[in-house]
Amino acid sequence: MERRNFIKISALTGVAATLDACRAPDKQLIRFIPEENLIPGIAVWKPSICTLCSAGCGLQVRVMQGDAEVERHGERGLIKMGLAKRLEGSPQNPINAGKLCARGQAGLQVLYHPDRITKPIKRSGARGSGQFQAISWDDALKELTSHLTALQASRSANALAFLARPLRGQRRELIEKFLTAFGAPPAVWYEPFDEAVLRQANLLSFGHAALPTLDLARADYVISFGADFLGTWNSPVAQSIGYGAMRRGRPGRRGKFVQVESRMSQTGANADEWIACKPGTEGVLALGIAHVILSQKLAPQSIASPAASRAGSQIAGWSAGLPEFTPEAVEKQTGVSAAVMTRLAHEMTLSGAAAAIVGGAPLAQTNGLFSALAVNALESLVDANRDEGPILGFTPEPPLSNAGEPAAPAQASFARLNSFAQSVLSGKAGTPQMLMLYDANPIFSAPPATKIREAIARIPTIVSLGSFIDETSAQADLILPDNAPLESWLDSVPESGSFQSLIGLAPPAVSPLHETRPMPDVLLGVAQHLGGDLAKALPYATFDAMLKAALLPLRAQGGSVAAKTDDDFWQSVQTQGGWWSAPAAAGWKSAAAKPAAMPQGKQASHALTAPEFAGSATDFPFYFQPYLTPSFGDGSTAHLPWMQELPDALTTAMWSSWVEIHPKTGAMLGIQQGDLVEIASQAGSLRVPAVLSPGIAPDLLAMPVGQGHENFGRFASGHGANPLSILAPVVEPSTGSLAWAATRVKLARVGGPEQAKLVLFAGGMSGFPHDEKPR
Amino acid sequence: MAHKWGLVVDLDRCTGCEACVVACHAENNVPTVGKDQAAIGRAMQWIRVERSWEGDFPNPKVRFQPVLCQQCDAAPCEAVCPTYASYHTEEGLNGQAYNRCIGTRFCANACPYTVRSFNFFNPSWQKPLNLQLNPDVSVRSVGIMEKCTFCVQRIKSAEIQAEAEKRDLKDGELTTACAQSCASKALVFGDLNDPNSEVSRLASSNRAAKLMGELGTKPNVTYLDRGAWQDAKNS
Amino acid sequence: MHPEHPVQPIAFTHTVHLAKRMQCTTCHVGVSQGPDAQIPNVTFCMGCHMVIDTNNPEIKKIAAYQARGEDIPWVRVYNYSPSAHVRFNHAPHIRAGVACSTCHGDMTKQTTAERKVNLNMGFCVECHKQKRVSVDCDTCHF
Repeated sequence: MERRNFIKISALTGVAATLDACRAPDKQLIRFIPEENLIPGIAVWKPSICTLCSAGCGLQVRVMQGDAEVERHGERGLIKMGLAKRLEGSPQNPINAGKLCARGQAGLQVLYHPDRITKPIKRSGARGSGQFQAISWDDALKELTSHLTALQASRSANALAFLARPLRGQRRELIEKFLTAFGAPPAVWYEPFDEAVLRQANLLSFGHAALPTLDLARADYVISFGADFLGTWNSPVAQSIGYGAMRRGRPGRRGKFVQVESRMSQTGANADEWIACKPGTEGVLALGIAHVILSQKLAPQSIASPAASRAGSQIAGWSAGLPEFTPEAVEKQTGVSAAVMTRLAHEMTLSGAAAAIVGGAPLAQTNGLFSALAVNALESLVDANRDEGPILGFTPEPPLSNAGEPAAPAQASFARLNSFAQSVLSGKAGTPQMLMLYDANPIFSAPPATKIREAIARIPTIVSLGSFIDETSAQADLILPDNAPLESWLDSVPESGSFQSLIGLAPPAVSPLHETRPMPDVLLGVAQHLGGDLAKALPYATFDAMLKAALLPLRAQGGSVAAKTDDDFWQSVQTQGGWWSAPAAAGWKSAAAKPAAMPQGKQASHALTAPEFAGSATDFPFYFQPYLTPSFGDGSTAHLPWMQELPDALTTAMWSSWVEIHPKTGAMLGIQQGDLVEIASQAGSLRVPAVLSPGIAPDLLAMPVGQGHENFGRFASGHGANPLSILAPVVEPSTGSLAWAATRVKLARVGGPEQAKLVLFAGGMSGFPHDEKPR
Repeated sequence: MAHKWGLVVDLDRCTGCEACVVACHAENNVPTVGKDQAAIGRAMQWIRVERSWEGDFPNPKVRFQPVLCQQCDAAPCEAVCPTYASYHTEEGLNGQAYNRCIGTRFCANACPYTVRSFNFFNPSWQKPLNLQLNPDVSVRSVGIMEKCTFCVQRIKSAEIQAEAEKRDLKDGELTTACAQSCASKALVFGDLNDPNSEVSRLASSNRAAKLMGELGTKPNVTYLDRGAWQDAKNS
Repeated sequence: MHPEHPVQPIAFTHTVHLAKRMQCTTCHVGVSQGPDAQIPNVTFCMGCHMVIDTNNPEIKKIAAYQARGEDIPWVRVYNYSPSAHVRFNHAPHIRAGVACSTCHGDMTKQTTAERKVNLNMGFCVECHKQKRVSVDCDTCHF
């Protein structure tokens, strides 16, 4: 007996030792004939696209031959196939230039997740019971088409609803065309943290209904109002690349970074100066700074620039020099001292290339649009009129008529979800009879007040096209599982992060492991089967044919692919992982997208509105701020073990959720680190461990989003609590966006650490032996 | 010329994003241990991002600091290993010969940087998560100590490739998984014996310092200081 | 541990193939490029045996595997125990002129492969020393 085996057996671990599985495959299993020819031991890098957030980073996938245990035609066996071993950023991609964030790298675990749905399944127990039985693809497709045919036959095609995560590119185009030709209403695109407010503000201020792209590498001064741009906001990898260069990429020149927020984020932790501001008054602070610049004429040329006039015209009192926003007046509202405001105004206008950006919690208030417009006005004052172009610009749109981008500005996804739920619950004729679900999980991520759970329960037929069982797809009657992204044809039309216009495109990096089928191919097949307008609108056998037809017009545009024939072009686009226009010479000067013209007619400017909150300050003494984490996003990557065991940047917590409480608040309420506390709002309550943090305002509680899943596989279910579940359905009125930072709460201790079970990474280690300033 | 591998960590570029941590897990088959084991301090990381808090609201300050095996020239871990599993390799790395390791954990005890992880159990990758395992790196079993190797498999493979092409390694052609993933370029890996390499140039910066340099462990990892708070213009 | 002379599903004869002047690398692709050597799959075998010696009962067995949609379940002859933590790379050995037979025995005299050489650490280190190659632990163990 070998020594290690002896240890193994004597320790009686009983742990599933998959250790040897890849090297000494089970001899009982038959072997299937390999479908691809790979040289063993040699890694091949294949292009793909990251789908774990909307940034659209390019990937290169390390593929090596290995033995996989698979099921084919009802029989289990081993097959030699290309296996994805690692995800890195694609070096030539203009957005992420070879880099990839923590979450993106965990895309590997989406592919190889043990809880993936491996073949079509049909509900066999009560709805939501989690009981399903496997059925064949033929039967599954027959069932899907029979439901659709029944709707058509009863002249109720408009009773088909499609609920999906917001998509861009040809997947969106496909779903929209499918629904239009079928006669169904437009899809309900839902994600809780959409950026409708910022897009609306950017349209008004800058003429672009899009998220901005930041040329941070050239910045000398950046002030961010709540934007977690190094963690979760917008295009974090592109922004981190720029940030590194801003700090240390130019010898002798180091950009300064100021963060304004009321709970220190991972991004804020990197700031040279961190400024705490009362929730909902960030825009007021921006205007206080702008007041100093205007009144002291600190940027005389910028003030008169067309950009500043345009953005400024959105704010009432701008042309008069913002008389209501004297530093002293603003100090009273924001809690930030007038002296700091005056100093910031001077620093910003004297420091070379400066920019002001806004994102996150300030936009999730009832006055979110006003705050965004205010920061945009400040941005136009400090970032305009430079020869080398501004820091903040907008990625030009790809030169295609049907790039698959949403018509801008899109309706806020929360508003769409609300009206969908209300329409179902109204029970009127023509309300949805059949729901198709794709990659959206509103039962987890929408506040219960939307009644989306009840609405979905009311729909007679639910078909999911997703890869996993989650809270929403658990309600499905039929699941036709999609391939994993790395097994799929992918395209992306990134909204931001690049100075060049670009479209990402990649063929499957690996063959399907399970008996799944790509969602687009399923829809295309159904369209052909149903015939008529549908077949005419979607005349493609497979999704790659649709992608090819959509992208070929780019050949005439030159850019990154020079090809003599359409086939050459198509091949090169696949090898490169997409198409992008020629790189801009210097920053934004020539590249930036042209702003839309100002709408004609009189523009109403926006006057200050105070933020409103659900719950009175007496009954609910604390502001409550849910926040996104790099690991989990909106909760849709909580099922990945690498993400669960990644310590939170600021608290080191893993496999848990927690609430951040200032130590003074803790002392007042008798709450210590690791205690179990109850947080209650008008809408509900939850229990969660307490983390005492000096980085949060004493009247604020903050809680990460993503945990608290009741039904999302073995790694996510049963950890922590979901802060979205206690949000009141407060909205930003001009867009209908969920104002997720506008719920007030109360707090009480309900138990000790043994009930709370907070897991800290540092907690098990002997302190911080390294914790000395390096000398 | 022999190589001397080194890594520079620029604390002014590090954003605490932990992309390096996941990159390391993926590259080196570092297991996840699950909630219960993590709760008793058994989570395994070859590189971790430490944070330290100073001050209080409204002026709290945080420093992030990636900590990994410092690949010391005078390594406390090597001296205490009774089986010579922890040893100094020809290229100056703190090697860990897994097949020699009998799990005394003396090395972990001796390491002032607490960068060693012990396999209290056989690692578990629930099928088919095992398919993600990197075949270039062993999967360690129960009773074995493991830690950062500076991605020795990447070093070996690059050296073999350069030898096949009868040339020297070029600066930048070889990097560790953590440095590869680092978007803000806080981590830079290379050959300290090559005076023109980026890592040599950075390691001689006036911001350079060794972690717990006073211990005399002579690390091959160098930290570059952030610079003073609110100081917008220093080099 | 594996048996020294495992029973293979097909009584493959190295003798015959090598006598027809086939090279090791004809079937064991990849051996000069990287760590591993390919073990041919059923499609590869049938590339020739679709037409060559089709009445041989062993080759009929191969055809039958293919007809069933199955690959040949070859049994490994050489392998390291996972607890050895060895990462062996064929390519540099081939480039250094080490003959295949040094570790695998003379295949021109073998039918199905047998473990003729005991590949323990002593065997490796002995050769590394003779050829003045590194015997540092992390040359192979990582």
